Amino acid sequence: MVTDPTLKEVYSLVLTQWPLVAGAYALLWAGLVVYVGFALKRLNGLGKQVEVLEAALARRSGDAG
Amino acid sequence: MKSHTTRAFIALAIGGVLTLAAFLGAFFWAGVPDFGFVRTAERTDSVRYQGPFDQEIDEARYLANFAGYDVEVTAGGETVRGDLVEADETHVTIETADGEVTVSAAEFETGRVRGSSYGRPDWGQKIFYFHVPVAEISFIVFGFAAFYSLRFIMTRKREYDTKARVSMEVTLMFVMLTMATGILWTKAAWGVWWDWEPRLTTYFIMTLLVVAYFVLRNSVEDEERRAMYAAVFSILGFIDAPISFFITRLIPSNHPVIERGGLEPPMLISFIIAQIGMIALGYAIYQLRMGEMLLKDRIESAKTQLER
Amino acid sequence: MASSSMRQFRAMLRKDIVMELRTKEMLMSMGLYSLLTMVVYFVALSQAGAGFDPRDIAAGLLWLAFIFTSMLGLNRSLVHEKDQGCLEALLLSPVDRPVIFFAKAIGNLIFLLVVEALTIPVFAFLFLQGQAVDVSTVALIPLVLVAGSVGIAGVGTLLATMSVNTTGKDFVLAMLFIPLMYPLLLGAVTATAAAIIGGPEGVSLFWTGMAWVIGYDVIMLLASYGLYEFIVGA
Repeated sequence: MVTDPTLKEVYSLVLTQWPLVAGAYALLWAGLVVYVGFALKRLNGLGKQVEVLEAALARRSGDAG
Repeated sequence: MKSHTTRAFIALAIGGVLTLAAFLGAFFWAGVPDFGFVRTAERTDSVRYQGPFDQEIDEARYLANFAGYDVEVTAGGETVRGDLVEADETHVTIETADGEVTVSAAEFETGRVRGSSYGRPDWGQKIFYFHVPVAEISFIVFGFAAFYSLRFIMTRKREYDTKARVSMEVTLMFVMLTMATGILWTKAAWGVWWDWEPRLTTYFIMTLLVVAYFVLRNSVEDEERRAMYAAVFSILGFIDAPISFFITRLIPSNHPVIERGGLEPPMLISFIIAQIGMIALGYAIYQLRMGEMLLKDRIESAKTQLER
Repeated sequence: MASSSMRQFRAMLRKDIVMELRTKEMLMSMGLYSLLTMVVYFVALSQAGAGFDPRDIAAGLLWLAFIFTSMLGLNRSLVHEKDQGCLEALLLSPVDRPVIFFAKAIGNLIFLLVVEALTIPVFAFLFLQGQAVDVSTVALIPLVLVAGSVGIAGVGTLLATMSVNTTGKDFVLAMLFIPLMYPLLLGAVTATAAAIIGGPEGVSLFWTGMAWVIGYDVIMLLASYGLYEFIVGA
């Protein structure tokens, strides 16, 4: 916490920048996390589908053989 | 496939740790550079103290912003020194040891203002540690997309088309992130959300090229044709991007550049760690999407076999 | 071999021109479109006020008209080829692929230059009457027109060949064409504006703009020429 009045004045002139800096970081991290999260979720779903389909395939080839 | 997901997770872990480290380095280790200066009447112990300032003033109205400062005014042959109470285009009022003295602006001859000068911290610069690496990765991945497109044209193998498309998706992701952080920084540093400034303009053109790639892909039905058209367009786009980058030199630029040897070690190290971390994250996203593509292929082939 | 390519090239170009002279469809549509653009310009500038100097933005307005007119023309010229099955017939015949590219590109270039030559006097008549211009530098404008049109026709032919086979023909063409054209447009507008403003600085800026346009033409035409084969065969 800045208590010195002079320094307070110095910082008050520039701290208007902070919401934008924080916003930029929030966007960056949110973007990356959301993207990776969705990719992982889709990957999981597809993995399950593959398992089911390939099990079905194996069963059918077993029936035929 | 397994190998893609494993690689993706390893890269994700490395990228996550490095970017987190870079984040900590950027905010708690690297200093905040000065962006101009601020003047105050009093002196305080501060790392930002740049020294005293002592300025000549030739008109009374120029003193208007210096209330509380130590001033010395010569008017009508007499010199008065003390703390400035107020000043405008008609008069100057000064608090001296003997009480307040008012001098009219018409009699004003010369004046001096004394105070302290402090560096003005530039918090907006903190975007640099992530904005610049993300922008660099977008160029690199665009290059990979063009390379895979070229490989596709030479070999006509479907895997290269998939690789080019996934690279382009990663490019789009990073381009969007660069745009978003860049626009916020522009507001912080220049006071406007957007400026038709060379770097911004060319980056915007590059964004449009990447978007156009996907528009093109989505509007071609035949699969082989889609792959070929997309490959040709991404190569053309990759040739065009540097041309538009350089031609914009016709307009003078405001965008900051890093001066040679201009970064202190804590800043430089945080920056380099952020760069490596971002490369790892880009690679992780690429591998994740590739794994997804391969799984989709497996599902397709399993479905066609089941239908038979 | 070279002479047979030349013969093929001439035959294809002649076909385009003869067809155009018979139907006048391309020139009519492009010419009227650019005239309509002038009406839109008038409306857009109608509230500009008395202090407004049309010479300041004349170059930009001209190239704006050219870029949209050329997109219309490029799209039409290749839609024709496709609808009449010309392109497929050509691909079946033993014609070199680059010859197809050059014939189509030069056909488009000729139509574009004709429309530009008609548009400029109309534009000058409607917007620049009574404005002093430096005649010695304005005489340089045809150079940048030709250089710019070469780039538009060359890269545009490649892109239009792609876009006719897509579901959103003209939108896809615009989406591909305008970002790729950005360097050429900036150079061409800079050169044209410098020629209109005139003076020794104008001349030097004109040649800077021209250098960019020519550089763009060389690089992008080589790329388009090399890549056309893959597009037309896909």
